[in-house]
Amino acid sequence: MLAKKEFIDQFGLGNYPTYLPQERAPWLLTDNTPIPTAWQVSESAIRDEHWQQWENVLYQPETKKIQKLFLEHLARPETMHILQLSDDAGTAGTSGTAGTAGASGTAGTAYTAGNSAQTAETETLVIYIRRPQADEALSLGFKIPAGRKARLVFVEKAYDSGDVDVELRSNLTIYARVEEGASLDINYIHPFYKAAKAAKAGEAGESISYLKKDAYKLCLYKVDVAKDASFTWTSVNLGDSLIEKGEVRLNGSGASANVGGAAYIQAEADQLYQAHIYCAEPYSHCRIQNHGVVEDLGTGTFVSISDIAKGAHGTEAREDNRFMTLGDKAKAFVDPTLLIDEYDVKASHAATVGQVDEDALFYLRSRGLDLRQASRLMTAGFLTPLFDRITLPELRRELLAQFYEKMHLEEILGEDDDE
Amino acid sequence: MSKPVLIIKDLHSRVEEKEILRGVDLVVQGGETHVIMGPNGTGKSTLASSLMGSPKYEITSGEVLLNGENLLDMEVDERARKGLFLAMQYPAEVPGVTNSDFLRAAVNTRREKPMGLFPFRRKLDAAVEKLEMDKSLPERYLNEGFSGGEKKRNEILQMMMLEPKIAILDEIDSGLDIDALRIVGQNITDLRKERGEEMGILLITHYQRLLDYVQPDFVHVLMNGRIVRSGGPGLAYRLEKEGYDWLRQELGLEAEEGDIDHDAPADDLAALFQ
Repeated sequence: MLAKKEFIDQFGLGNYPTYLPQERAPWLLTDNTPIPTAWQVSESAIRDEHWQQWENVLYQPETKKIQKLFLEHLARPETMHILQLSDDAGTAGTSGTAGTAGASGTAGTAYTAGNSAQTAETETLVIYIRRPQADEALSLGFKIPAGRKARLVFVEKAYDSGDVDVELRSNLTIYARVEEGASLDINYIHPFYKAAKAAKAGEAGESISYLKKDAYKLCLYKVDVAKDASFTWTSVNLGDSLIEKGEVRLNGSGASANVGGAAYIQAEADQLYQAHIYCAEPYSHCRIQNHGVVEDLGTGTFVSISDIAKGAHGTEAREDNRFMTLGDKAKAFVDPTLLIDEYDVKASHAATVGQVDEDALFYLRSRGLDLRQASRLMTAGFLTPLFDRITLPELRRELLAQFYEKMHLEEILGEDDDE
Repeated sequence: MSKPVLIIKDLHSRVEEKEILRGVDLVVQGGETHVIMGPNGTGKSTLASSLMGSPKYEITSGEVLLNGENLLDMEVDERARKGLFLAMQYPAEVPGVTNSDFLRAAVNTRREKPMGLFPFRRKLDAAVEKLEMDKSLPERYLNEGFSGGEKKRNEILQMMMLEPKIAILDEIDSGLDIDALRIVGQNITDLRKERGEEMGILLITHYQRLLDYVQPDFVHVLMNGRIVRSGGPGLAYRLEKEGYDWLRQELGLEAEEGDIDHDAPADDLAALFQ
C-alpha cells in the first residue's frame, strides 16, 4: 500500500513522526514506521463496562432533527490502542529509546532531539487513517502526563467503501486523559478527496461517492481534563458525512476546553458536530466555536452544551456556532445549550443560520466582482479563519489551497506568479 | 484614452414608498471635480447609491449614461467594471476576506489578463504608504474592526487601485480627524492630477473643509431631491458661512420638507396618537 506516502507527498508532513498501528487494524494505513519514540504503546482489551461509557457521549439532546443512535448500533472494537506520552521530558529512559528510533531512521529526528531539553516541548504525532468500511471500528486512548504538551493530528483519507449496507455503524472512538498542567491539542482533518471531485464533475473512473446517510461514520471522543490542564479539539471537514460527538470533563479547577472547527458541507453530505463540556470545578474555561457552510442538498448541525456544575464558580463558558447556507435546499441547524447550576459564572452563546450578507454583497459587487465571485469570496471568508486552528502549517496551507481550488478562488484572485 | 462622461437626466428614485430624488440633472466629465452639498436627508447619498445600483433604491424614471451606455440597464458589478466607483459612506465589513485578496480579485475583474502578484503588491504597498495606513492592512480582513477613519482611507485606497473613470465619493470626509482629512484630501487631489482627463469626480459632502484640499470645479446644491443651484467654489464658502436658509428663501422652499431624516421613524407613527 502506498497510501501513507501519498499523504506525506500531498501534505508535506514527512518531518513529523507518525503512528500507524498494526496492519490488522483495518482503519489505519499500513506502513513500517516504527513506534514514535516519545510514546509508549500498548493494547488493552475493551470490556463491557468500558464500552458502556460511550453511551453518555452518544446522548442526543433534543434537536430539530430526528436521529437516534444507541450503543448497540455501533461496531465494537476488541481492543484499545493506548499511547502514553512518556512521563518526563528529558531523562535517560526516553532519550535511550529516542536513540534507537533515530537510528532506524524514519521518524523526524528534530523531534526526538527535542526530548532531551528540560522544557516541556510539544510532542507532535500525525495519525493517518482512512475512511472506514462497513462495520469497522477503532479505539484509541491517549494519556498526557502532568506538565507535558502533546499535539495529535488525525488526517483521514477517503477510501471507496463501495455500496455499503451496514449492519453496525463504523466508528472511531478516542479517549484521552490530560493530567495536571498538561495540554492536548487534537486536529481531526478531513481533506477534500481528489476522486470525490472528479465524481462531482461527472467524470468516469475513480469516483468516490459521499457516504450515504445511513452509513454515517462516527467519531466519538471523551476527554478528562485535570487541574490547570487544557484540551483543544479542532475538526476541519471539507467533504464527508460525519457524526462527531464529544464529551469533555473539566475535573480540576482552572481546566480549559476549546472545541470547534470548520465544516464545508456539499452534495448530499450530512454532518453533525456535538460537544458537551462539563465544568465541574471552579475557574473552568469552556469555549465552543464552529462555522459551517452548507451547499446543494447538504445538512449541517451544531449541538453544543456547556454544563456548569454547582460549585464551579468563576467559570467562563462561551459558545459561538454559525452556519451560512447557499441555495434554498441546504439545511442547517444550531442547538446551543447552557446548563448552569452556579451563580458566579459567565456564560454566553451566539447562534446564527443565514445567507450571504446583502450589504457586504453589494459592497463587493460595487467593486466589480460578479454575484458568484462575491458570494464565493464571502463564503470562503466565513470558513477560513477557522483554519487557523490547524496547528501544522504545512497541513493548513495544503487544506487552504484545496479549499481555494474547490471554491474556484484562484480564478477570482489570479494565479500566484511569485515562484 | 477618451474622456469619460456621465450624464444624469431627470433621475427619480425612491426608497420604499418615499420619493427622494425628484428629477436630478447633472453631467460629469473626465478631468472635472463636482461637489454636491445640501442639508441632511435631501437625497445626496440616495443619488450616490442609486447611481451605483444599490438594491435599496428603486429608480422610477430618468436616464443615466456612462460613455453613452445606459447605466441603469447594468448590474452593479457591470457598472463597476465600466468604470464607475462609489466610495461608500458606511463601507461594509467582510470578515475572513483579506484586503489583499479582495483588491486583487477586484483589480482582475477589469483586466483581460490577471495582474501578476508582484506588480499588484508593489502598487498596493505604494498606495498603503501614500495613505499612511498600517503596513499590516493587506493581510487584515476587509474593513473588519477598522475605525471610521481607516474605513474611509480604505475606500480611497480602493479608488487608487481600481482607477475608475467616474468616482463618486459619498461623505468621504465624515469621521475623519484633521490629519486623516488632509491625507485623504491630498490623495484625491494627487490622483486627480495623475489621471487628468481620464477620471471625473463627484464629491458629496456636508462641509467646506474637504474643499481646502480638493479644489472643485463645480459646486451643486441638492435640496428636495433636485439640484437647485450650481456655481463655483465660492458657493461652498457661502453655504459654510451662512447655511442653507438664504437659499431656501430665495427659492421659496419649506425648511422642514428638505430636512427629512430617512433613518428616523416614519411620520405615520405620530398620526396614531391623534
